[in-house]
Amino acid sequence: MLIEAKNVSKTYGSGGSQVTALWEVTLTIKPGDFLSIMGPSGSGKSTLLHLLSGLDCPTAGRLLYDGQDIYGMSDRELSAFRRRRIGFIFQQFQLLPVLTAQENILMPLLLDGRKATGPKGGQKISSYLEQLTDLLGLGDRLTHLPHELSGGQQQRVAIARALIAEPDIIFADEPTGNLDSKNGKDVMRMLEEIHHRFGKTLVVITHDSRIAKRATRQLVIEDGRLSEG
Amino acid sequence: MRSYHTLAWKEIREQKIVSFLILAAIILSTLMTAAVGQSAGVLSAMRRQQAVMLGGDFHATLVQLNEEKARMLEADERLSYTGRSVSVGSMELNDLLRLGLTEYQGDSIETVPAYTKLAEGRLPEAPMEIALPKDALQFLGFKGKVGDRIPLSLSKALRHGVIVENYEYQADFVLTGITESNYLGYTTGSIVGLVGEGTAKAVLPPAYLYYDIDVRVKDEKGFQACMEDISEKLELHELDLLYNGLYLNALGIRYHEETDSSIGMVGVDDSGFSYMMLAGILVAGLILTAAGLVIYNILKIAVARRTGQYGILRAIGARKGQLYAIVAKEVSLLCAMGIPVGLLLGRLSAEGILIAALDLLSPELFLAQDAGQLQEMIAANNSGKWGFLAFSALIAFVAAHLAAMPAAWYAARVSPVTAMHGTAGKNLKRKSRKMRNIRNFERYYARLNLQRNKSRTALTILSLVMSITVFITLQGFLSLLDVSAAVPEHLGDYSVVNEYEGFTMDELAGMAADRNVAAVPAQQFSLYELDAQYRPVGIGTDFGLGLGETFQIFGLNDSWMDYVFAQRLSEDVMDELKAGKGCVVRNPLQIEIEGETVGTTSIGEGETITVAGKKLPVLVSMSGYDGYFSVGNNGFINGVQVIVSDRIYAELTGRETYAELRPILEADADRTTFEKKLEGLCGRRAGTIWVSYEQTDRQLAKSASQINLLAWGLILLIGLIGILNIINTVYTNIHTRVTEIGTQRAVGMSVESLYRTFLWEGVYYGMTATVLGSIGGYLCTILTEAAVSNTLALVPVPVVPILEAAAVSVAACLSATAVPLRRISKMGIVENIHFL
Ligand SMILES: Nc1ncnc2c1ncn2[C@@H]1O[C@H](COP(=O)(O)OP(=O)(O)OP(=O)(O)O)[C@@H](O)[C@H]1O
Ligand SMILES: [Mg+2]
Repeated sequence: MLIEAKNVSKTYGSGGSQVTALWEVTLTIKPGDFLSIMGPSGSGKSTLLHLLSGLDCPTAGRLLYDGQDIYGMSDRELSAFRRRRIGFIFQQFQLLPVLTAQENILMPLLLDGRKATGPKGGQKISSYLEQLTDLLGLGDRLTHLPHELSGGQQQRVAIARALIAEPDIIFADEPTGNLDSKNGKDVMRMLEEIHHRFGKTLVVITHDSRIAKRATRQLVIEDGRLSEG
Repeated sequence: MRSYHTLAWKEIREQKIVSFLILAAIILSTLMTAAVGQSAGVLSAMRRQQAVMLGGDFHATLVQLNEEKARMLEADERLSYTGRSVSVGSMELNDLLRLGLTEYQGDSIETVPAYTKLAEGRLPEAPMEIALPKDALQFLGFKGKVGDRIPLSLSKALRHGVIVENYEYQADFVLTGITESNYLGYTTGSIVGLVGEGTAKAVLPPAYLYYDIDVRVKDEKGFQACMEDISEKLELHELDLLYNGLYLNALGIRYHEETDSSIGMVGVDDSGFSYMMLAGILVAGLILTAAGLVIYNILKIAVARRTGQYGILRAIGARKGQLYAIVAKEVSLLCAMGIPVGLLLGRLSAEGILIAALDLLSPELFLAQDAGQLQEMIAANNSGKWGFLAFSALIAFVAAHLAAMPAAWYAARVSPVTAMHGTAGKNLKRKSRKMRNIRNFERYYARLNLQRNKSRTALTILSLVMSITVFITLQGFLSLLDVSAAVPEHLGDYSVVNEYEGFTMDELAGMAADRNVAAVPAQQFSLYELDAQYRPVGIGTDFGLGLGETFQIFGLNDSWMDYVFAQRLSEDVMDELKAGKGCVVRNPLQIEIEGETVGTTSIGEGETITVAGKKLPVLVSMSGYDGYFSVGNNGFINGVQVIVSDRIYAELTGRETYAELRPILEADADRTTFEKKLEGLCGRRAGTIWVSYEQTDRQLAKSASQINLLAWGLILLIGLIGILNIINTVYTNIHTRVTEIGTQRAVGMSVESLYRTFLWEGVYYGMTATVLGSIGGYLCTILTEAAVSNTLALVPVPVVPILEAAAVSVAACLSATAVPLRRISKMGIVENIHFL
């Protein structure tokens, strides 16, 4: 899936307290790309990721997915688009506290009204789920609630959730920011493996230059302006 | 910020919705307690006023005191009031009524306002002057005017212990005034006339000159001891100390029930007061609990949401007591705003509530002649009940603070560390964690969310359950009180009764000839007591009767006969009955009294009885609860009732007057003219009482609709509280989950689907509450019906109210959800996620 951002800008507030978080960003992401985004705090990294993933709309400019402007879609279409084509990983994990790890992972499918278990269709999903949880080392934690899991485990559940619907592209906003260095490394290794094994497009924000260097393209934002490094 | 207390005020302003909800709850609960408090104040004032009207403005009366003892009493320090009077003598007016003359000395007459309402002239002042009530003059057959002389034959009784001695004498009095008739006297069998000071000395020999002293004691708590001490010192016979029971009860003074005597009224039962008070307190309690739940729930949530803030305050050194004070202060400020408003509204509604409730539930409680008089009494007593209002304000204040306690306590207990880390999801528990086949994710998620905060869910549902229970119960109650059913069916437009001499044939004919009158059903009535052999006294019969029975003969004219029997008898039998060729017999009711069966006589159909020498075939025999015959609203007197045509009544009883007339007016009749004529009849025939059914029916219907209104007000109030709770809970639920909402949307939940999740939650609240509330309401309905009919029985399930309650509560839940949710979903996803 080809993603094109054309002169995308984002400003917050109005009048004297107006903040320009992103200024005229133009960017093309080709299928299979692995992008890293670096930049100082407050430079607009998260803002860019939110716009690219359809979580927030730009103040100006257009965002095309395979030539289609996603901000022209209805809420219904956009929601379906998010749960089928996009995976998003937050720095704060953002799991739903009442759901078990497994339910959290399966949520995009459940929202789609797809049968997650049982014979028809369910078979394929459950084998995929098994594959994912094996890869992420979550096998014995599936019936736990989020607050019963460690931070690293929670992030891995979040990763599984981002992958379960087999999206074309995965966005990750500092996925290792809340983890210690060992857990952080594990998570990055898994993301890279997913990129390699499943051929997904991967966009990762990070403060860690070693992680950034492993990406196929490295972007840097400063004061809302994007440059390719 | 002047002090940390200012924080309370800031929080009130910041959390507008929370503050508003608490304020509403405080206003509602104060409104209710104030209405009940005000009503209680008015009721007790009316009860006191009524007691004074009935028995006089004193605690007790000591009778038959000689001059020496009277002086001792008057010098007694413990008494705050003594009033002297002398009973001058009494005379018979007719079989049922006596006239008693009393000389009030000094200002003692002021304690008996019921006797001194003048219609004409003035009260007697000098010896041998007299003032008599209108009705007494009628019974005496007095035709003169004020200033005329009235000769009376009197008898003065003097009791030595239990032996009574009479002194008979005749005296001429000068009529100085005519007082209003006081119908209360009819229940005790005596009417009071007033004579001027000095009369007793003039007419009674010194041996019969004794005084009655009315007293009030200073120390109401020591009343009984004081009275006993006085009795002992004065060597009074126990029959010579009469308690003014009604007044003592109204004042709440304790006294020995067994010596309770009949100075006031016999048979005036004031337990109605207690029931009304009890009902009021129950309702107020219910509302207070419901409102307390709301306050508790709201504050608990509000405080929980500020846990972080409190943690920081604690971390920078706030003491527990200071945090506690912030929450308490917040409630106090809201009370300061809400309670005055509630008091005002409550005070305003109390008058209407009282009028409606008294009118319907106990019109005779205050012996008011009509609703208008009752309303005047209420209005007159509706001011200055500050004590009761202050008390209700206090109750509302305390209740609000009690409800706030857990939240304040929680705030004070917040530990700096846990508070700042937030608690979202920390204490979640889930029993079943097996992955199920989730068919509808939204519903599934809603159910999980319900279990998230069990106590909040339970409270919300509880308050809704209370609302629904009240709704269904009151609906059942209202259907019992159906306005049209409240108006009974009766014969005629008026009931005109004279139980003494009755109305002559001419008067009946005269009334029937009136162009306003369509017909005049009329009945005659004679009652015969039984002698030792159970034979009626004063009339010959060929049969004996039984223990505890009486013998009664009713003579009905044709139109009354038609009204009673036309439906159930054939034309032939009717003709015979009307022609006086037979009779109807209504046999007595059989009742067990202390092991003996009373009312055993039974005369069957087809038998022939002989009454006053006339043979009468029994055409119809009635028994059990077939309905009974009576005059006016006297009710049923047990015995054998023989009903005949008025054509042969005189032949049987030797009397031909009618005891009761029930004129039926023409459709276009002029009521005012007719009622003037009725007044004229009252003037001619002493002891005549008439009531207009049209008027009583209208009053009944009015009261019923007022009660209806009242009940709906109550439903609304309770419903409002339930809805407040729902709004609060849903609002909080949504606000504590904004981040989650953002996440849900980020992973692809559409706004529509998000709505459905919360709506399902609302539906679950509504449905659970409806099911529980319906069960509660059904049980209460059974109880109310049982209270009304005195039998416990299953009643049909009130389907319509249940459906209504379900619809309203689900709708309330849904709308409470829709508003805040709309706002949140309008926010961006990113904004949601970073909400906190
Ligand atoms: N809702 C908002 N309202 C106003 N300004 C905002 C809002 N969200 C972000 N900003 C501003 O936009 C700019 C970019 O924010 P953004 O979150 O994209 O930075 P970031 O590069 O992700 O920083 P960090 O590395 O700290 O996460 C910042 O200056 C921030 O203050
Ligand atoms: Mg960021």
